[in-house]
Amino acid sequence: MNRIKHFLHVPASASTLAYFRMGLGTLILISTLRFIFLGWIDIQYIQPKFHFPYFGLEFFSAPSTSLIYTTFVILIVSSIGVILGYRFRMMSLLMFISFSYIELWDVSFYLNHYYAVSLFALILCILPAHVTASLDVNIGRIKESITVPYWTHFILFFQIGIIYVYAGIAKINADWLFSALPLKIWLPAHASLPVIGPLLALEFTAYIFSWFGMLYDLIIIAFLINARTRYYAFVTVVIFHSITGLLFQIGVFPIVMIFMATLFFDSSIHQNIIQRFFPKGIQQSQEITTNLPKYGIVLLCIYVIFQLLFPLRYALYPGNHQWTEQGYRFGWRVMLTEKSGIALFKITDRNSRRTGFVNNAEWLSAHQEKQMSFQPDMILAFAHFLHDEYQKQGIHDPIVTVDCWVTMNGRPSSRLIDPKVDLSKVRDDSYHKTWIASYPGAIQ
Amino acid sequence: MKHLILIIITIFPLFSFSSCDDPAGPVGQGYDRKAMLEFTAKNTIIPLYGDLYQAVKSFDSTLHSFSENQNEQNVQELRNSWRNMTEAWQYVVFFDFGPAQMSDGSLFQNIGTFPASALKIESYINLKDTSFKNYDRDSRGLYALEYLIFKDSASIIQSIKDQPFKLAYAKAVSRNILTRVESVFNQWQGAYGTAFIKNDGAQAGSSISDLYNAFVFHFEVMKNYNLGLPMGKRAGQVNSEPSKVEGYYSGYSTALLKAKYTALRHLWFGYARLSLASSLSANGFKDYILSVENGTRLAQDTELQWNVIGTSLSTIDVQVPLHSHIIGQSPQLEQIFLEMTKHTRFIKSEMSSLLGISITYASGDGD
Repeated sequence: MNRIKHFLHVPASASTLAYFRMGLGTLILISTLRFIFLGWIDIQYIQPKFHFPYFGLEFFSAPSTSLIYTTFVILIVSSIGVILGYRFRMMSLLMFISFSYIELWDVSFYLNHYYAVSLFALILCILPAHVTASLDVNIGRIKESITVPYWTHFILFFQIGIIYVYAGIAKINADWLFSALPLKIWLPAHASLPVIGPLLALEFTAYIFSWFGMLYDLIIIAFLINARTRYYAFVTVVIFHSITGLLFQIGVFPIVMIFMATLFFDSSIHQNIIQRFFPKGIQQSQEITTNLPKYGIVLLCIYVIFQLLFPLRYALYPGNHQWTEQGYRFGWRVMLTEKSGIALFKITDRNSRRTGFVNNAEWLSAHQEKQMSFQPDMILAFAHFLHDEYQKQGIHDPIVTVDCWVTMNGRPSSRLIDPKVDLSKVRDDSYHKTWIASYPGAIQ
Repeated sequence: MKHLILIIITIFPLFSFSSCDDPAGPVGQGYDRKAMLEFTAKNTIIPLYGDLYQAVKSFDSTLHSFSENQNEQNVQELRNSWRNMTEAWQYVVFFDFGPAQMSDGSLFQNIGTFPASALKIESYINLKDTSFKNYDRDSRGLYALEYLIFKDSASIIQSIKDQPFKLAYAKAVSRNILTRVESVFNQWQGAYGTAFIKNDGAQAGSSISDLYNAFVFHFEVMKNYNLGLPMGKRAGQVNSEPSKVEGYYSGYSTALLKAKYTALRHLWFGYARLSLASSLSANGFKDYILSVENGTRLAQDTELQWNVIGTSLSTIDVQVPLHSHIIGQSPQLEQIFLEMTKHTRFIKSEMSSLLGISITYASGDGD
């Protein structure tokens, strides 16, 4: 215990944390502005007539238009506050809350990298990332310090490592490694790109990318930690994420991961960078070592254990988890399968037995419909919504069934949901969903 | 770093070669989308828009002859001319992107909206308003013309005598359609046609994505609006609504449905216009699908289902209007609807999945 305590309190550079603070704030600010300028507030959050809530967090779904805009304003203001290090404690908390709150509005927009950003924002809240190179120091709100205890670095490295290693573990499956699927489907679509295009059409390339991707995810963290290899590893990081950014529509994710890799650099580099923005810093600096209280160590351990175990919860469910998607989210299964489906909902009046079919496009955006069509919990949520809507339209306690066919990694479609089950009477929970049809293939 | 390079150099080729005997078969050599786009533009889209343009022009001049000389023979010619024009429309309705996206809505919205609203048409005629500066698109398309020239089956001559502005309104609608179709046709022959061929990626906004999305959208229109809605298949409907078919007043609805099916089918197979009678071989979605991983299986499944739908369509009499089939609760119609529904899994979900075509711009990012 003492050795752990000592390890967590070794003095480390405060500049690295300030660099992280400014970098994360900037990334969130840029991605938020990008989101706004692409018109996505309107398209994703205001236009749709229905929003898919997170299980257990239904209360946070589908806020009013004014609340939507307010949240975005708070996010922009707080991210600027974080970058500047002004009233950092409050600003970082606001940034975390507003960013995460937006993610809770509609599960159809769930992205692993948004979850990653949320976690990094949460971690930032508890870090002393404003003890140097911040307005809080410059205006005398707090004393400057050039060192911080090592746990503040460790938690960041740990989180980055978790993302990579679990993404790598997820790739260890027969489809990915021995059939090069889905890359064999995804890569040839880009064959018209200049220079690398013709290479992408080759089967060989899909295998190279699959195996390299898996190994890269599993081992890159070790090479980043090792001082002798980290700069070479960084070159690999840049190349890897640039290629994936070029080939797939994954938004700011490549930039986020490239930035995170720079945290492993020598802290003198971080110091050089932040001094360009806060040239006055590091003058009458001192070394303040605040000991983490006992409950702090406990909380840190809980967080670490949670991050280690939570992505593995899928193993508690029977069946092929890539098919059922039970315990799938928050598990760093990034760009792992090619799935697509169609879900035809049938509404039956419980008294008259008159039936009718739902045109999903009347209620959902194209993106929502696409996401819903292969994710059982979203299908269930939509079925409940349809029950209530058609009840309002005068259908007596509608029976809602779905004929849902999903194709995974280019295989023939098969039924995802038992078409006889009245979904309106099924309550969502965290247990195994028995109404999900099992995957016909034996692929695991 | 030396270790890293060493690992990369030794491990990857090793694994890659060892897995070459994968049963899934080889990936295509990169499909030549540009060739497909060029073929489609030159041999399909432009000639088909040309057909429509000629048909609309011919309708317009028939309408003028009729207005000069209002007799029963000209009424028949006018109606025949409308049938030709509307059938030609079925073959281009799904090229509703590029120049067909106009400042006030798409070509489909502006000239193809069905069913037409008798109420609105009569109201604009009463107001003598032909400005078309409103969103009542069900008052001014092909099906507004249909209402005007087929509604009074006994004598439209008498009905025009009773309300002379009817003719002026019909002429204005016809002119509006002609102007729009001419503009789209010209742009396809000019700069847009070239740009369409050049834009050969697979991302949202690429030509293949436009073509594919429009194809799927109009297949859904056929299933949900040519059939589903009039048949009373939509959730919340209490009864069937036979008058909502496309081509209600003319009674030409069954023919139009069959034409739309044929047109969509031809697009998937990549047939050039009238290619069955010409020497041009096909180049379209089918060939594209055949070139990708697992594509052979999907192409077979899809082709089979096109044929199943075709066979079930052939069981209904083209001379009998769709609304009569619906009122008679034709089991064949039920079968057609069922088979079309089944088809969506191939053309909507599996096809987009295998070809890696983006469905929408606004979908946000993936992870």
